[in-house]
Formats: sequence, structure tokens, C-alpha cells
Amino acid sequence: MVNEQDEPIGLMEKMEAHRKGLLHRAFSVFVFNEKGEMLLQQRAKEKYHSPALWTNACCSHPRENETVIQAAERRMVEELGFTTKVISAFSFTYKASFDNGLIEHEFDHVLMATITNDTAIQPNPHEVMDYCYMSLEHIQAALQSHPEKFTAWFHIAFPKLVAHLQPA
Amino acid sequence: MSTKKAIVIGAGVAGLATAIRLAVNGFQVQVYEQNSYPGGKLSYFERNGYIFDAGPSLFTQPQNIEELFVLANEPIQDYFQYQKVPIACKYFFENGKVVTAYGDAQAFDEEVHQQLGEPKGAVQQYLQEANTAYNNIGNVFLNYSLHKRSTLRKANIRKAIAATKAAYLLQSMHRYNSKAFKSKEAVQIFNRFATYNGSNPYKAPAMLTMIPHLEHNEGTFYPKGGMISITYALYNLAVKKGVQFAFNTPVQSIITSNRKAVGVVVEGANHMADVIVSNVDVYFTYKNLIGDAVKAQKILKQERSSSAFIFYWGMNKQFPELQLHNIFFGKQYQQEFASIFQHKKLYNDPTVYVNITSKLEPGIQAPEGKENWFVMVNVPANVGQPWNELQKQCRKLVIDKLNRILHTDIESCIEVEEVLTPPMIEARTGSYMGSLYGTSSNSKVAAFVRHANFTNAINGLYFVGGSVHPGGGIPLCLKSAKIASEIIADDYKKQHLHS
Repeated sequence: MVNEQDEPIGLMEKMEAHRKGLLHRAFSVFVFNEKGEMLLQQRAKEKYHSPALWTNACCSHPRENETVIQAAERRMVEELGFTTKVISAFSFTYKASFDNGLIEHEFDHVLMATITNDTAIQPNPHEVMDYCYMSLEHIQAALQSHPEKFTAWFHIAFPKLVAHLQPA
Repeated sequence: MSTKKAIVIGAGVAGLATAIRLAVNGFQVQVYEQNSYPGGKLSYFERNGYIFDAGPSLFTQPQNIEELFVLANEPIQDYFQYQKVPIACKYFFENGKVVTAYGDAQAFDEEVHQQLGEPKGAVQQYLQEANTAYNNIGNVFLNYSLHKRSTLRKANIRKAIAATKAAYLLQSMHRYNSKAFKSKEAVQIFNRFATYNGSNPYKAPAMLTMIPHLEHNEGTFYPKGGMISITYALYNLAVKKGVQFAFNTPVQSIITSNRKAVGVVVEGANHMADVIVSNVDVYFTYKNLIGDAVKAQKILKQERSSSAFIFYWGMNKQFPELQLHNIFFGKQYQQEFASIFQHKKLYNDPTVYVNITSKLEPGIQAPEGKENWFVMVNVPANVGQPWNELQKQCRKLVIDKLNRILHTDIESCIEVEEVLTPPMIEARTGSYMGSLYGTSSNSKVAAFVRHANFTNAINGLYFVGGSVHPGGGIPLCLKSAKIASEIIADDYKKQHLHS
């Protein structure tokens, strides 16, 4: 369970969450520039899971009082410092265990956004240590050659996104 | 440019989901529903403080509903709340064995090892394979129309087929399960999943072995307020998105002109639209709404799914040994299915399913200290059997079985009683022959001959719900809505480019 700042909450609260069978509702945003390249971010070293690994533009959880889309647009401002409209792409169930013993089981809503060339990215250093744009082909290659550099999440979500984007 | 109009016939789960998707895509949507309430088979009723979900009782794949709220950009938590359930089902056998099917695959594996002597890892491996099957061939079947050429391009069919074991298509579910497990009980547990879309595990292809992936890999969930909350979540979301509803308003016919559906007749008046979606049983759509008796007859070539007797009992005490979902197995599973599908008779030792939502919401779903029992037995579809007599027989079989296994006297605890029979199901929901899940999956080709979500014979007419692709049950009904609305969006784009 995470709070709005994606920081871990107490162990007792986590136990409570499991007893009540509370659910994780999550979203992730894939951002593309005008060339069709994907925006990747490198997570800050102080993140409680997957520090210093590369992943998609933004992942988080909506708060109680907001829609998934509102949450995504808010997080984009908080993590990367720019505003953009996001649209819904698809969703899937995600289950994984982390090295630190946490188990993630959530419904993930994948959202997409396109930004113009003159959009200024201003990453929040507490969240993001670096960012870049890469073509889908280069990302595919990097996932093969340097899998350890990417989050487990991205390994799962990226192929699903590519499948979703296949032209009709 | 005027707003495009859509008419949805029937406010069942699939009709509601389609209405939402069309409204989000910019259609002005009008829904006509014959009953005074939405939801179709997903309805409920109350008796003396007991709440009974009348129809479906199992909630899986909440992401199908989550998705609608994201598309509509509405906060789901304002409409619908649900929780994960740690125990998917409790299985009781006449020989005294009891298996608690934990939602967690590892715990379930350990339990089956302890109680039934299956080797450690057998269940986990089975569920892992179900996972793979679901993500590959399942993804193609459930999320796309099998009848469109574009599916073959979009859906990465080659990869799916490569990952699909020949056994899934060539073997029956029972044969596959008999090879996976040593004990009769484990085979029966996994065979039972065929009943989730009203099919026979001894005939249906092993493809259906991916069904437990939903319960044990993704999980089982309970909606706050019971299953009826699903209907109301969808209905309220549709209303929020501007969908118009007319209840107590059956559609008399679909108007076609030059091989295009252009409207419907309601109470003797024409109502025109650009898109018509039928959530009515596909047999009745052809027979009554389109007036095509030949096509309707062709539909009957596909075997109908099973129907059910459902007893709703208000029990005046609690049974701590029971869970939310409970199964009391019959001893001769193969004969039971032969009776339902071949002989079309009530079997003399049927498997009994008991659902008790007051386990999760005590004092709310039933009065304090009492339980609301939903008791279901799979029976043949209606071909004119003497249902009144069969109901009496079935009731006795159920009570005797529960008394035997639970070492108690069930009947003395029943203080409220209602029943639902196959002819009642047909009358109330228009499900032909009272079939709960449309057509069964009892042949290798069932998936391919099930009616598609569109027809090349009539433009602008689309089909959603349990009687069409991909099939029955809430998750598949919601998928039909998704597939249909994507086809509608594609068709509309093509039209616009040419007009």
C-alpha cells in the first residue's frame, strides 16, 4: 500500500490492508513525442522499490477522491513537471513479488499521451533521476541486451503496449 | 454534422456496458428494456430482511468493470466497491473429504496435496499453464471477434497458436484433467469449471481449463452489497454518461432497409438510429425482432447451455463450516452431465452449489445471526420437461444431500423460500429454453460457430450478451460489449471516409 507520494506506509497498515482484502488500483502512462519515440524515466535512487531502474513515464495509484485520468494527469505534473491530456488504452491484472517481500496485485490501467516538441520536462529529483526518448525498436533491443536496467513492471507492460499498438 | 444515434435493445450486463462505451464514443444512446429493472439475469429480490442475488453469484475480473470507469473518466469508488476474497470455494465430497480452495495458488496447491494426496506443485503447474493459455489463445478468443480478418492481423495469432497446446483443442477437458491429476476428487474439482459457461467437461475442449486462471491467479472478489451492485454501478454510470433508458418497453421489431438496420419499432412507432445493438438472446433476435425464421432455426443447431433450479432459502441460523461459495459434489459426475445434456433429465444425485453472501456482509445480506442461502443445481435446458414435479424431486435431493454431508437438518432452518426454474428464467429474461449461458461449449467448433458480434447480412446491426461471441457469464458478456463497440467504431470510421 502506498500513500499519495508513493511512499511506503507502516507495516501494521499493510497487514490491515491484507486482512480487509483491499485492492490496488493503479495506472501507468506511456508518453510519446512527435517522432513516436517513447519517454522513459530513470527512477530516483531513494525510491523504495526498483531504484535507479528505467521504466515508462509515470506509474502510480489514484487517490480516493479522483478518477484514474485525473490521478494520471496530476502525477505527470508532480513527477515530470508538465501537463498533458491522457487517454485510456487498455487494462490488465498485475501480480508480482518484490525482493523486499512486498507483493503487488493490482488492476493496472494503461494510459497514453502525446507531447509536442516544445514541452518542457522538469523532472522532480525525488522521483526521477534521468529521462530520455527512445524509439520502440531501440527499447525492444535494450530490453533484450540489458534487461537488468528496466523495472520488472516495464518488462511486462511494454510488450502489452506494443501488441495494443499493432496497426489494424 | 448531427450526432450519431445508437439504440441498445435490452439492459442486461452486456447491453449496459455497450451503452456506456457508445456514449463515451460520442453516440446519443437510447436503451429499451422489457422489464421494469436493468440487469437482466443479474437481478435481486428481498424477502423478510433476506437479500437474494437472483442470478450470477461469482464475481471475477473486476478489471472489466474498472475499465469502463476509466473510459468514462468517472471515479469507480463513488459507484462500486468490492474486496478480494481469500477463499474461492469450499468443496465437499460424499466420502467425507473437504478441500478449501484458496484464491492463492500456492496455498491451494498445499491444500490439495494435504487433503487429496496430489504431488506438491501439481496444482500450481496446472494454474501456471492456465495462465499461459489465458494470456495467449485466451486473449485472442476473448478480446477479439474471431470472424473478422483484421483480428488475424491485430491479435498476434501466430504467437498464440505457438503457445497453445494441441491438447487444448483436441482433447476434452476431462481427459486433460485426468492426465493432470491422480485423484478422482481433483479431477472433479477442475472439471467443474466447465459449468461456468454451462458446458459439459466430458465434451468441451480442454481450452476451458483456462477458466480457473480467473479464480486462482487473478482472484475471486465480492462486490459490496452483493452482485446486484454490479448492475447498479453500470446503470448509474450509463445514466451519468447521458444514456437514456425506457423500461417496461419491449422492442417489437428491428427495421431494416437495403440490408441495413435503421431503427426499431416500439409501441407501434418507428425510432431511427445509425447503430442498433441487440442484447436480446440471439435466437429471439432473429425469430421475433428480425423475423428471420430460417436463420433462427439455424441458431438452434448449436447446443444450448444448461439451465438451473435455484432455491433461495432464508436460514434461521449460521453454519460456520460454510464459506461464501460451497460445492457439494455428486458421486457420478459423468452421468450427471450425460443426464443434463444427452437425456435432458434431472439427475438423481446432482452436484449442489450453495452461495451465502451474508458470510461477507453479516447482518446486511440477512438478518443478524441468519444466512441467505442461494442453492443452485444445474439442469437441462427446457424442452418441455415436467418442471413442477422435477422441482419437488430436486428440492428433496438437495436437502437430503446437504443433511448427509453437513450432518444436520437443513429443512427445519428454512424460514423463507423462493425458487427459480428454467421456464421462469426464459419468461423473465428472454433466455431461450432458460439457458443461462446462451450456447454451450460442448464441441471443438463451438467457439467458431457461436454467433458473432455483427452480421454481414445486415449492416449497422450488432450483437452483445451471453448468447453470442465470446459466450456466457459476466466476464465474457462484458468482453462482448468491448468487442462490439470496437467493431462499431471501426465500421463508423469506414463509413465516414466513404460518405
